[in-house]
Amino acid sequence: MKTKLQSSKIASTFTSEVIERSKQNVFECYQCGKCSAGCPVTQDMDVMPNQVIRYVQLGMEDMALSCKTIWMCVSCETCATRCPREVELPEVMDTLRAMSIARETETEFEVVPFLKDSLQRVFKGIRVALAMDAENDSKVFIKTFLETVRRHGRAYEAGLISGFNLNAGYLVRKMLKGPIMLIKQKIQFLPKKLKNAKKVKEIFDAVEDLEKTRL
Amino acid sequence: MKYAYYPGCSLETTSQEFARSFEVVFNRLELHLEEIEDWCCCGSTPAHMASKLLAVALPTQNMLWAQDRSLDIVAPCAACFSALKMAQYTLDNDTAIRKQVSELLGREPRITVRIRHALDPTVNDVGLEELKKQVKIPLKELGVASYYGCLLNRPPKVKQFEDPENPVLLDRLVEAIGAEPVDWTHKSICCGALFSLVSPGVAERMSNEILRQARKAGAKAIVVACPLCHINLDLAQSDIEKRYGESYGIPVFYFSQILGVALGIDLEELSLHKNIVPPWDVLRPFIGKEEYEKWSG
Repeated sequence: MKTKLQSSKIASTFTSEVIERSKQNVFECYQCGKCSAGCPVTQDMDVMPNQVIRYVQLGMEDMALSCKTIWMCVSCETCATRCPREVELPEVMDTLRAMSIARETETEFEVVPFLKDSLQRVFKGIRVALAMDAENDSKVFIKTFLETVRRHGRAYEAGLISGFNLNAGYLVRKMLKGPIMLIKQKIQFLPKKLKNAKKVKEIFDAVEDLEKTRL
Repeated sequence: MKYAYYPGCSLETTSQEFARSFEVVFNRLELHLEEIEDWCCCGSTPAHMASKLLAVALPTQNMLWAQDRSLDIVAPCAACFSALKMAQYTLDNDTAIRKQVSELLGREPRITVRIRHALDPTVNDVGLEELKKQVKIPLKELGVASYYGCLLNRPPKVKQFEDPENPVLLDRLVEAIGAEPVDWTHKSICCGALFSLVSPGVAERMSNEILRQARKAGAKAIVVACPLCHINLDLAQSDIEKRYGESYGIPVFYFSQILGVALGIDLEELSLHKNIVPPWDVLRPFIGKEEYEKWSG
């Protein structure tokens, strides 16, 4: 894999921002690869976990924020447990994920692209519903989950699953489990109302203000 | 002994069996739970993936209630336990976040009460000897694979519970109730967690390995301590079987369910009928013909 390094990018503001936000000194990492050796999802990643740290060390912001790896990391903490330099890789991953989400929310919302986008998603949904398996949609999941928490104060599972499917363009993912979950009464149709739901909304608003982002 | 109880969102819905069985078992062991008033979501995995500040603020909102009453917090859900414990650790070690949370919540977020996963007080505050004494139905010769998942013990700096590579508490519990804890490879290897919804193929692959290794080690059942692990191993078991052409039929119990059976608690209260993979064949030698026929029929 050919990569172009630029001295202006090495140890750039990206690197120091990641170090500051994650509270992890990525320069401690000496690329032993123990993290990648223990990671249970490497076969689904495009770059290895230790390579992501290398990207950060070298200030390669685009590579770090656009790789599939940061979304395939499930924070199982196996790497952090084993790292001989005590680098908390999941904290770095979380920082990169947050930065990636923040990047996205900078784009404006327009009606026509939205309609086109929706149609594309419907077709994708049909294709995917038949294949029953597709690319990682962590970002959609994260946003949908947080939206239900913001609105109701608690994660509202029925809303999460249907919202996820709608936003990610799937028709029936996990919805086939719906009947059995209903029969066993393990799904609530309506969200429970918290007395303190407003407080949760306030927390979300305040966090968005402080971090200049939209969750 | 009294504890502040933080059930978490999934215990109200998809893992009710955990909530019901845990509450009734805890009560039987004469430990008392006081539910945190009007608790809100801890943020779980999505919060820490989107914003560190959110991931600390949401749990803190809940922990303050317990702090004000000097009650240790008990959380059955491993993800909630992890979120709360991580938030406490961050507040103690990150002055910048601590200051931001202080502004957000309008008070100094000082959390000194203990944050504990439900398994901890159930076994450690009662004691294995005492638990053994209270067992009415020893689950003799039942091979059980103890599956710890990721969040109970990792990262060790934060969780400070058991050895992250080789935890043993669930195994000791399985022994105490008369069953046989199997020696197996996948005690705390990730089940796939949120991939259950986001990348089912990946989660199924990871969970298939767990089921396969449990069976290989001679287990007839798996015991878990986390709602998402339960979903990946129980709800998704038929999908895994289809994908890999396997036939497992391995019931997945919450530790409180299997403990409850051994303590002689009424099966209805343990919500065993809400488990997806039917546990009745495995439990048959211990629950008697009548109960078996009532539930499996």
